[in-house]
Amino acid sequence: MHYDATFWISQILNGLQASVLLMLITIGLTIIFGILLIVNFAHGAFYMIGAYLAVTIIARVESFWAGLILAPIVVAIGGALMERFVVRPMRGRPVVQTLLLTFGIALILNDSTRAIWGPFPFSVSPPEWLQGTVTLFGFQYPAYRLFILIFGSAVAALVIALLEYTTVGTVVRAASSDHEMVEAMGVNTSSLFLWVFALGSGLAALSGVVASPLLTVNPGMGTDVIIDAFVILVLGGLGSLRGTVLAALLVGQIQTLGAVYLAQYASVLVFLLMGIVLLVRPRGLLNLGRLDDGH
Amino acid sequence: MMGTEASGVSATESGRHRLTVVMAQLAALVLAAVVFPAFGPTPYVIKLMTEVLIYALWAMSLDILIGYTGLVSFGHAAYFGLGAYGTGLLIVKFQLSLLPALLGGVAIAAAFSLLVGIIIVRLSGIAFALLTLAVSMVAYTVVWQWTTLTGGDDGLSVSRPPLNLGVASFAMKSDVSIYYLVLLLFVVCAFLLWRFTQSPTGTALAAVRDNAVRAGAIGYNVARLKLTSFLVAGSFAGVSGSLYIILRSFASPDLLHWSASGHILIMTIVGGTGTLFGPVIGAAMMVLVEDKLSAWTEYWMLPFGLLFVLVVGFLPGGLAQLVRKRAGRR
Repeated sequence: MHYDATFWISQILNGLQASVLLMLITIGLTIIFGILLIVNFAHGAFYMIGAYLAVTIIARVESFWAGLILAPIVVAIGGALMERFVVRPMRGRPVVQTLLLTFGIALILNDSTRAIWGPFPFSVSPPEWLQGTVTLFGFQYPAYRLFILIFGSAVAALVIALLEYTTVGTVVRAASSDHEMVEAMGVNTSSLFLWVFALGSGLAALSGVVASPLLTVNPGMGTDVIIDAFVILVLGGLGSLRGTVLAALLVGQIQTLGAVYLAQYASVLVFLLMGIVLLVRPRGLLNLGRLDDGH
Repeated sequence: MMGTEASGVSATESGRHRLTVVMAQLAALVLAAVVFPAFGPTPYVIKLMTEVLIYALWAMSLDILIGYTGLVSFGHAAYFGLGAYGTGLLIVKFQLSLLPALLGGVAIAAAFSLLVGIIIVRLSGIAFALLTLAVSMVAYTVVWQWTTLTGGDDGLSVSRPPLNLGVASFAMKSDVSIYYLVLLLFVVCAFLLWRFTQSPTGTALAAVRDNAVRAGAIGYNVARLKLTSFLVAGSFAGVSGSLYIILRSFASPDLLHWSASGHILIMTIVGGTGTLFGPVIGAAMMVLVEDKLSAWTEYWMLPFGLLFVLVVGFLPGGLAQLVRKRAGRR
């Protein structure tokens, strides 16, 4: 196969855009694991519900931006309720038990979504001024993909800045490593955990809305995406934000470039990579994760 | 331990008595299963009951991992699927008769679980769950994409081969004959699994489950025990997968998908892990309820999701625990 430079530039840009979307999806999962030590199987369901809510909101108020802002807020409230009434009572149990629990929640949410919106797919169009193409490095590139690249990177940067470079972030991270001590210093750690879970869930929904113009909004979209998110979570080292960014960049390129040469075997490569990392580098590619003894 | 000698003896006696009762109940269940086709159920019901037995065996094999070893696998469908595809391909490509094809399919599943087991036993907890998931997705993608061998998305269709026993050959065309074959193998496998849990290896698994570090410290070879458990679980999942393709004459890559693993996980945990009997209840209930509910609603996973969440949260012994409680009160 022979391709010219324009093809490769657009492939790499597509890969980058896929990476940013994957990063946006996984970052919520990462902060929830990083702070609460929970692998949230319902994350994919939140992503899907975000997209469905956006469909409904956009149909009502005819504004893509309303969907982009409101859907994540609604889902974040749902996430907060889930933290309060389902996750919090399970604190102290082995991580794998909360994985099972959230798996059950995912099943409930999946079927509820199908019951509410029906089995048929919806499509979402981006705002008009993002529907065309822009000229980039001398060739035409879809404006909405460029928007994802910029918007996704900005949101991810904002989350990382919030957690790593602000006082709030310091307190949150302190609470996750020793919540009793932080509690003794006068911080309500329970409500901190609630906010973190809500933020993570909201980010899942946000990525669902952002992704919806690229694909159809359908009942299976959550189950597909949660596995990709798990792969990136593991590759990046469970709980590590920098690791997640790196892993998302890697997986996005493997999936996009791999599709050219390896067809669907690209995903075999990704899963193999996940297996190898779990075995020989359980704290992730950058060795920053919080998973050390498997518990 | 705090009781007197006399009460200790009577405890053993009542234990022996209870064992006899349980044996009698199981014998009655098996007898009921044997005579059930004589009451003239429709072929559909026969097929459904055969399916219950297949899923029950699959769920029991997962119980060896979850209930007896404390390892949660999110990729148990891979071994079921490889058993099914193994048997199916041996029939299609090599025209094997039923028994060799079945054994071959099981051997393939067993070999794969041995291979995976050797590298996977170092892990536990969440890492184990995620790695089993990754391995099963590799197997799924390969089966799905290797179109020339497996038929890919279109699935693999086989025509049911005869059961050739040397002295006699059975066509196995009727659903009742398959039912009896599956019932026979189910009873044999259930017995073998129960014996395994009672064996020295099986009881040592409990030590690994309760505290792997301590088990290692008192001299158990933890990695080897986990490998044995993984191999047993994978092999018996292979048996159920092989039986599945013989019943259905069809396999699709979905059999290996992680959502199938999630399905069997729900059956096993809702039924009650660590009992072998619980997963049978779980499988029977889920297969039968799915059959009834799917007639008038697609949303039958909703009640099972709720039930699953309740069991994980509040009823770690599953439905089997409820059954036991009632039996204990009598």
